[in-house]
Amino acid sequence: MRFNVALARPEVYLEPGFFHSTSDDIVISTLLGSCISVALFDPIIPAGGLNHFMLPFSRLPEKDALSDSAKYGVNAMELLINDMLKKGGKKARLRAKVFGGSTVIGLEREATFNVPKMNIDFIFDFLDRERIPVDAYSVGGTMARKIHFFPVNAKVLMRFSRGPATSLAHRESAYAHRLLEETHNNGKPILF
Amino acid sequence: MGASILIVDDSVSIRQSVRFILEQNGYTVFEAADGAEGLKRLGEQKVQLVITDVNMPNMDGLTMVKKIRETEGIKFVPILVLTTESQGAVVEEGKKAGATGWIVKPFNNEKLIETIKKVIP
Repeated sequence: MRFNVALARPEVYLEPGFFHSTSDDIVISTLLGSCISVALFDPIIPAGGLNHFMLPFSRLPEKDALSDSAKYGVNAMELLINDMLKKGGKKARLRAKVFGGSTVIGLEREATFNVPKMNIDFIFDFLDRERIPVDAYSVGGTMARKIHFFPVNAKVLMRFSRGPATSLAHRESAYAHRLLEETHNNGKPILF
Repeated sequence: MGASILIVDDSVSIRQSVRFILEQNGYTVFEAADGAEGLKRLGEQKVQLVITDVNMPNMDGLTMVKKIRETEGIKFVPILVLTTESQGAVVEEGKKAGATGWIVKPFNNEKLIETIKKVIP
């Protein structure tokens, strides 16, 4: 864990596909393009967690929340929620803030539909279905977002990143392709 | 009519997506939101298979599996654990508790149905 001098706290930086939750007074940060980050907070512990994920895009349009790609979103959310429960959180107390889903990379070239919109639709649909209230959000647009999340009080500092998004685009694109591979080769069921 | 399956998961999203796939394959589906509700449903409704999550409020999945294995009338029902937990130690705990099989999310529809057909042909 590195130390963020400006924010005077240890900092955990999330690469695409990762999540972190804690009741420690640290800062969890990430840089988002078309991916989504959800900050979850349990005010009673208090503890918070952040993830950074996207739905794998298939070339087939998949509209509903039960599609194979939506299952990956559900899974990304469940991993974070379960991590919060292990820290003593209660699902019924969780509150959310949602970020990301901007159009910074040329994913349109690779899919027949709008990837950022699919990610945004998915997450609001999911949170609504799981009855997790959304306290704040900043989604869409064309600029990358830098997020700093303070897990002990749910505060988020967000700024738009105007810099060249080439390396971000590269990382998110690599992540999207990794996911696509995983959708074909995921876990083998075990029978005891 | 196909076999009856009870899905125990606190996530509405997971229950909906598993129900959708099972019904498409001709199974009759019942739902419960945690282990305690799962046990209650099993007392009321005869099912041929239970599919359960691990991390749930009130009563977790593995505690429910142990209780099912101790309860006359339902102790022999096959139980598949469907979870984000993939660590060997947790899987081993599931085996000890009496689970029949273990599937790590996000699951593949075909593999899920294949596994169910192996357990309840």
